[in-house]
Amino acid sequence: MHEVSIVNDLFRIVLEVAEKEKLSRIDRVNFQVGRMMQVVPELFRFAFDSAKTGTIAEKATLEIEFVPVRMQCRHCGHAFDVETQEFHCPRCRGVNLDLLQGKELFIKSIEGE
Amino acid sequence: MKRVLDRNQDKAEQIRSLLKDRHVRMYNLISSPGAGKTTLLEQTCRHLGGSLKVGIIEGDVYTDRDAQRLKQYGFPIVLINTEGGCHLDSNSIDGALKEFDLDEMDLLFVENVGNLVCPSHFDLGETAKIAVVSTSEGDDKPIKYPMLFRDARVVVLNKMDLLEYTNFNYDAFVKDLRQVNPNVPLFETSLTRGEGLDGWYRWLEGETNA
Repeated sequence: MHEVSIVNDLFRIVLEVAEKEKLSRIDRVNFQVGRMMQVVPELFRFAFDSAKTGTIAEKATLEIEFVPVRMQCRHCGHAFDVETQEFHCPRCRGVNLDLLQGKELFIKSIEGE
Repeated sequence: MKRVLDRNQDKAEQIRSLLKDRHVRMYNLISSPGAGKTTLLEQTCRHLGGSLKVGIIEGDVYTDRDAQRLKQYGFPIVLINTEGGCHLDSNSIDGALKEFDLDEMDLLFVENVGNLVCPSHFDLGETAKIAVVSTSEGDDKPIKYPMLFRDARVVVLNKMDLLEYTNFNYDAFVKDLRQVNPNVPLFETSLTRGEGLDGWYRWLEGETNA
């Protein structure tokens, strides 16, 4: 349930931005999360809906975009997406890999007025 | 574009530089409930005895049972009750560190809340993460929880004495672990019997003298 902590921090940032931008209503939050972070969307949405109650984001919708885990082989340089938890290079079977993406927790944008 | 959990990360970096300054190493022990974190700490405290100055930060959901178990070794312990929270964060560690005299300390062990997912996402400012896993949990953990096993600087495989009573596939475990983290030291232990700890102690001592 790290989803709850992530949502709490997300809301802190969203409300900070809203205050700075003088928004009185937030309609939508576009969130980007890497697959490596093992966020369960149902839990995340549940936490989001609980957190938004009584705030200016009360009616906001949450858009979650998942970013695939992308690795690069240190041996042959091949970059590839890890889809089935197979952590080796499909080209040379090397296992010394660098993580290129997959740990994102980004608020891409906030919509409101 | 705003990065979520930045605040946790910033605090973790502050802690990391503070500990470096004071020459204190901090190890973040992560495992599922019942894998053997507390027993590993008990054995380690017993072994280190008077040779190193050790402190313990004990993360527990509601109780102080683990802290009670560790009290007898005479090392300072700070308990953090997460009140249901499934992981520690850098802010709670920052508070706990204020309770220690860091100038009088070589080593700090953080026993995280028993959970393989959430604790691995929250940097505490530790020197290294230590993953503890046991044979009774099944051999698929490294592939299921790659975030932890990739980041771990040491993996302890515990309950080797129970291996023959489980369906744990040792070869599959090692193969998966090597895929996720090719060079991580793996120590195989039977902690309730105090067996298999020499490699762990050597690793700790090597780090101390590094």
